Amino acid sequence: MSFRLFIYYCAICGGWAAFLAWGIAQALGFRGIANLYLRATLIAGILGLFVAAAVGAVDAWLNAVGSQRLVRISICLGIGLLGGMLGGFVGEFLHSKLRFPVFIGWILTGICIGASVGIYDLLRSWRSHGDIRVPLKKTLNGVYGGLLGGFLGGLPFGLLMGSTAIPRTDLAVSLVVLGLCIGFLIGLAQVILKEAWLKVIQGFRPGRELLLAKDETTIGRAESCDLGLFGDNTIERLHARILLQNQRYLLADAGTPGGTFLNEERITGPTPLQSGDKIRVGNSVIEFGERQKRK
Amino acid sequence: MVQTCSKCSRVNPAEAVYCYFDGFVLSSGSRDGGPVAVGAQTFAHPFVFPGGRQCRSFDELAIACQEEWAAARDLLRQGYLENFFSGLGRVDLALAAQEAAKFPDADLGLNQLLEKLPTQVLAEPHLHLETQEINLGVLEVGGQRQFCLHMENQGMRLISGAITTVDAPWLALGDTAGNQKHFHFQHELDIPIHVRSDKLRANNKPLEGHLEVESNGGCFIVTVRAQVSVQPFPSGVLAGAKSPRQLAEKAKAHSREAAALFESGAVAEWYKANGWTYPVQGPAASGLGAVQQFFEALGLTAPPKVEISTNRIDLSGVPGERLSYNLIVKSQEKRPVYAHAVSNQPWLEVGRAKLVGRLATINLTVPSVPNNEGETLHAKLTVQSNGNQRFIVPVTLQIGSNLVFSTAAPAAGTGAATGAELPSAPVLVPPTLAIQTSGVSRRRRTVKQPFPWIHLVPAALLLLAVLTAVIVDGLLPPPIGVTDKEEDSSNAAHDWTYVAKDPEPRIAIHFDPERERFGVEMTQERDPDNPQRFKRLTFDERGKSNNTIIKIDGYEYKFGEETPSNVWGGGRGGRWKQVAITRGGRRAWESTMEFRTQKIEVIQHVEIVPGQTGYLDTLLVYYRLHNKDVDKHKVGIRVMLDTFIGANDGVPFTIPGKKKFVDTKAEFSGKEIPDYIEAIENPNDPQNPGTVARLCLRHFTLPGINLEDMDKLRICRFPGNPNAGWGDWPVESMQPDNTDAKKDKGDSCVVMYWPYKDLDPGETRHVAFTYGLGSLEIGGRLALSVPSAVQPGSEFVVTAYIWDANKGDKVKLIVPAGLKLASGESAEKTIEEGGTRSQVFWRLRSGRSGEYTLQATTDTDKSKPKKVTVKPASIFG
Repeated sequence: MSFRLFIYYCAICGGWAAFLAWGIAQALGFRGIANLYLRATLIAGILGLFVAAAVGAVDAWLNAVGSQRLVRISICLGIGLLGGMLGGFVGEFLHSKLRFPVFIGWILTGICIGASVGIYDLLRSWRSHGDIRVPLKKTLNGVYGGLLGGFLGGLPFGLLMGSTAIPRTDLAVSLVVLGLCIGFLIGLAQVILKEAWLKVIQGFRPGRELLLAKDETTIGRAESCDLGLFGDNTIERLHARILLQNQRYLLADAGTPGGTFLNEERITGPTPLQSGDKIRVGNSVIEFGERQKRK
Repeated sequence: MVQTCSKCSRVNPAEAVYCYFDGFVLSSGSRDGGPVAVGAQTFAHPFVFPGGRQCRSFDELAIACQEEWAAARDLLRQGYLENFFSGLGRVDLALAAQEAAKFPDADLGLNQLLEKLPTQVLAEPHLHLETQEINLGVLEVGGQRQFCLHMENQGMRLISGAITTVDAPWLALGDTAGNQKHFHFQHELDIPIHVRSDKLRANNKPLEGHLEVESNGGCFIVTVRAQVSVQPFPSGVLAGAKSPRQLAEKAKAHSREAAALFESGAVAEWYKANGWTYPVQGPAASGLGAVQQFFEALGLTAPPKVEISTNRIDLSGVPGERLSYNLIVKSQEKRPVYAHAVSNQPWLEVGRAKLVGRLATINLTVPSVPNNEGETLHAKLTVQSNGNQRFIVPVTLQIGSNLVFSTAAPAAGTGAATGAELPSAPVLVPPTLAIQTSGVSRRRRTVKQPFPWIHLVPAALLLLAVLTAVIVDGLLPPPIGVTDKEEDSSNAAHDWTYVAKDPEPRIAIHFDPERERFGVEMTQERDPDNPQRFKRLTFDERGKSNNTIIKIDGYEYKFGEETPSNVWGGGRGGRWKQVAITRGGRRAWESTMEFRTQKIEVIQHVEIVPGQTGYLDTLLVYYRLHNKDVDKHKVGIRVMLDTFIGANDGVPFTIPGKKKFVDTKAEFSGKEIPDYIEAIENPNDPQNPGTVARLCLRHFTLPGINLEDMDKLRICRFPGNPNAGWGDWPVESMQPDNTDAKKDKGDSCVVMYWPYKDLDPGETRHVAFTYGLGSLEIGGRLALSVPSAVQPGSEFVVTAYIWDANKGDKVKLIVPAGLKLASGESAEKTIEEGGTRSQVFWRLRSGRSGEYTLQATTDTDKSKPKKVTVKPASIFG
């Protein structure tokens, strides 16, 4: 999946998730709850749950493999639910009592949804005593995207709500716009503010891109590899690693007989990477990209 | 007569005793002299070995060769034996030695020669095996094991032969790991035998194989046994399975959980650990497809018929160009399809199949077209799908042209193909060559990838879903509680009519343009403090210090203050704050607010209407609360009126039924709330009482409208904050604060609350009050105050104001026929507390409709007659 598709699917999945959240809220009669706090908390909670799960699923599809995807989505789901409920409650309080704009609450919800995308990587690095800088950056990127998405999606919320022409679906339209904005901007923030990434130039599914958000990214033929290059028998199951050490990305071969090549030179040990470097494993070529040079 | 050897059939001279060729005793010899021990006969000269050993007969020579085998072998090779036999005249032996010396294997050559020597001293070779049954015990798949078969020659000369494995592919002979090995040895030999771990198959029964030994010393069959235990499946829902069948049964019972094990390769690993061949060829499918894949491979489930998108792929490109092609394997049956392909050429790379339901897409890539310009390369792609259905797709790559993909319709697979139904008519697109004759440069057309329209599908579906929902919502009738705008506009208040004594109003209403608050001032009297202005009945002539609070579901909204969810509404095709109703000379203004979050509509109707005097001197304030939502909401309304008369901001109020004026603070609720309250500008001056303001609170009706009773009435000091909320401010006395008495002359307000309660979907509530001018006609020191109108059969209060009265003075009310005193009331009352102004009241019950005149008397004074109208109608007549 390319980054453009990633952003696109973040937005679309966010919109679909919001639409689903509306359907469930409508079916369960959340809109009929007299207590505004409870109503806002429940509706925002279910929105947060679905949108976070959807955006998390797209992120997991791009950046994870196997059962790790399920874990990632589950974490997003929980954080999204809590964040949505928090945003709904606080937003309702601020709006009702202090006349704050509606989008304040949605900003909170968006922040939590955005943060949920990076929490898994953060926890993993923290547990393994690895470098949490990159996953923290990813989490913050999600927060920025969620903040902007909540703001932009929340702006028209008050205008769309309460339309007597569409008394049942005014919330649907409002939520879908909100979900689209949150999803789109979280995806956009992840891509625009990305630190480092890989792009498959030649090999399995050329053109796909992978954000580097962990202290160790594995490349190989196995399903469990972060960057799977399937179908190339010249690639070992675990062929190479990209390590983040002292804020530098290093390329290391995993002891393969065929070796790993950096700019067509075989590496003998962990070798620093620079933006634009071409990594060749077997018959596949991967380009390493980095936002800025590290000193 | 010549003799013929009975052994070799050769002719010998008549005097020969032994055959010249093989030394066999000729028949004549046996008859005449019997057999001669040729082997023991002494040579003419001995044969001497390099070591000095002398051999004087064939017997000694044979023994010497047996014992000094290596030296004899060398002598044979070097021709010494051949020469020696020739010297003896034994041409036969010389020829035999010559042949033996040429034998590829010198040992075998010597052995062959020894066989022909005319001697009996060498016994025949005799093979002896140490054992003919070998039990290797328990073996593990993947483990290394080796053992030796020990052979011994219990005879003489050389044993030669071969050993072969029979029914034991898991055994390998010698270092070459073959299944047959030739051998020869003189005394003993150990033959190493390897257990081929890759050929071991776990089984509950012991493995048994045989080694067949054939030699010139005898033949044997050695039995080899081993036990290879089955490793049960280690984990998950398949744990404990000891055979593929058991595994299949467990997988069938827990297919979802088992799918992950198949997909992760754990089952394949288990097969491998037991030395079994995993039946699934190629990569595992995902999800439940992996289980199905396994079942199909085992033959437990019939595979779906699959078809392939093309039976031939023609590619063309220029050297260095990257080409890509997607081959699709699909099935018409609603079952997962999986496939994988293998290319027999390095230039054609095969990607992992992308499995999506009934579709498996295999990406074929030519990473870089080889630099063989003008050539056409051929490759063979073997595609294997469900149930091992196989298709062989020829791929051609024409080099030196622009890229054109052409596909042909699929044909039946070869080999084990199961006859999948395939389209028949191939469509061939010949490659277009684009070689330029100039040869200077090659125009290279890039691969035009089709726009990925598929990605737009989810967006289109989302748009479609939302639009469909919105359209359906728009087409459906409004839910309960949501009324049409046209219906809203047909408000009963629009049809009111009334008759006033004078069309010129005595009061004027001014709106605060920002917040639709309203203030009241008189039109015919001047402000005593400022003659340039009219006398006010509210503190601010535009009502900026008044406010109306709408409380919905616990949240308070100020009527007239717009927020994103609280907007002006009520307009037809547009929105405006206020609409004036002027039909029939009316002076009415309506403002509509929509509380969009809860879908509550509140209409404020303010109109100048005839009051107690019959002139247009009363302000009717009417609110209509309507729930347009499909859900009920809790709604209440509260109006705060910052009362003011002339120059007096802290006017006291008279309350019918109360013995004293309210000049500090008071609160009434429910039935305690009086029908009206009055404020008199100069309450202590019977000659000039000034303006009388009356606030009607209860027991009046509006045509076509069922008004709701007030819940609470609070008379107190104005809270100081014009934006004071529902009740979150201290209730204080309206009297001036002692600390600043000079500046503060008091500041009164009236706060009216209507119930905060559920408003059901579609329900409408109506609340109203009037505020205007009253009349107080004083006769001497006595005046009566009565409601402007009372309902027939209802109870009402008549109040008498007495100036300069003494305690114990008597006041009597003259009650006309048609009205009567309420139960427990007496017509004569005693003034309990004298003073500048005192008041007494009576509770009366009205009878039938009509006008009745009331009058009060004391010992010295008589009030002016006061009319009270009993009628079912409203203030509008």
